[in-house]
Amino acid sequence: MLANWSRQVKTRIMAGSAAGAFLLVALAAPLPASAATNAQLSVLHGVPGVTVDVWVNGALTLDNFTPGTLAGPLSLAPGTYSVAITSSTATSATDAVVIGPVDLPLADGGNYTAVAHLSATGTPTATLFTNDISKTAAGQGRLTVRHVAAAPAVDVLAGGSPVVSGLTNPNEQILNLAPATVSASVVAAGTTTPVLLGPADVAIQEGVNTIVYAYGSAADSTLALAVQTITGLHTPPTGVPAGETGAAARAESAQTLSTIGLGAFGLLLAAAAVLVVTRRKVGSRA
Amino acid sequence: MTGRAGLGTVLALCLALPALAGCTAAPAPVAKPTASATPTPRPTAPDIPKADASLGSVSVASVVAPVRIRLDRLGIDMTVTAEGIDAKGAMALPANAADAGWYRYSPGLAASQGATVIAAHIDSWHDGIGPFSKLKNAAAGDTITLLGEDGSTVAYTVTELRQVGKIDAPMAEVFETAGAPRLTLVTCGGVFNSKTGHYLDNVMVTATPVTAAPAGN
Repeated sequence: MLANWSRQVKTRIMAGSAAGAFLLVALAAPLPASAATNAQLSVLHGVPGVTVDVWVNGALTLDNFTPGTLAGPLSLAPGTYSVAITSSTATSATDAVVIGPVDLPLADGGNYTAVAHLSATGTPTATLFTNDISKTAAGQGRLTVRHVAAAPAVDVLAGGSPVVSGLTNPNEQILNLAPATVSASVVAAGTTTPVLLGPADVAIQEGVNTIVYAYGSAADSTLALAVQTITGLHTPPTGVPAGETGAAARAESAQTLSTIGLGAFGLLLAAAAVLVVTRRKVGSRA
Repeated sequence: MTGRAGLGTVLALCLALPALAGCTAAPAPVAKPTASATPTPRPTAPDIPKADASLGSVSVASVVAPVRIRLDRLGIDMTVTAEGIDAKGAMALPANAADAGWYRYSPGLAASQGATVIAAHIDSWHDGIGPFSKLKNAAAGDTITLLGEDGSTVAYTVTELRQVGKIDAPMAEVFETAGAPRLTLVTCGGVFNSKTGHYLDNVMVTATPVTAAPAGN
């Protein structure tokens, strides 16, 4: 009877652990074999006047993509992707090609924007930008300015003074700054007038990378601004130091002491009384 | 023997159940949009979101800043000002312990998610011990009322009181901008270190919104 009982217990334990092990396996199973994180790819159309199709690795991915439109983000496994931009009537990635094909190397967990735009001299081209998704400092936002227009070097003025200087196509400048709405203008580098673009209100938000693109053509008077935001870059304050003098702590301990103090005083009185009595006894003996 | 057979059945079930759970957890196949019956062999693009990227398309959520906080049971009734970050990267607070600060980058009154953070000195050099010294006596079920800059009021019910060593204080959680909408009150507490001039703990009260009352309370 005892032997049988102990065997049952053993079996139970084994059954339990086997089920437990299986549960662990079941829980682990949905995870991919490798720890790779998909890259995020957004696509911006910054070539004025032409509706296009975007083909990724030969497959139609964006149909009838119009200028000034942002698509995505696409979640793609890390790797290199071949992107072709064609006329919107194309029947394949190699038919009526406008830009490319270009190779876009996307790293593990990276965040990118591929921009179809004009070069400084007005030729359609494509640029892959890596978006800064590092955490913003506590109480800060981020502004990324990208020059993808057929235009010479530019400055960006905020409230009349340059915050970005000598930016050329296809480059960017990144500013980390306190959240605010900035009135921004784009001018030729080293000038303040005439204003090529703006002034336009750009909202800098805490924990957000606001990416502003200047695209189009200065010669064709098609310059325009496009904007993309990447949220979730928030950092909390390092702490909440909400006391200076210790007065509240002293007030509390004084209150506690006054309660304990009365008791202690009573004990002292009692001890003194005992002492007096003992002395008297000793004295009477002597 | 019957006992062993029973165990065997249990074991089999235990082994089978996770597999079943795995089956139900598998994503259901998504029906692809059917291709049109036109004779052109042109492929169909997947449904990828496209959005107008003009500056006007950026939506900046309107935030209703709190301007007053009341916790009647503890006799707390304070003006609230919007505060940012101090020189050390910590949350800035009003100089007076009698006033409370709302972290201006935390959600406002009508927020649909995240923690609205209001903090105040427990004591200050300017005006001594402040009302938030009573926060340690907050109890689950206490009502907190916030008055917004637009005149609206939101009532909250206290759900939790915590005292945490500052080293361990979960700032990412306190200032979380996602998750269920809630109100988090923060002050100092515990032992005061007179050498550093800082308390060792943070006292934190969490409350959840109950109603959106009309203006004029």
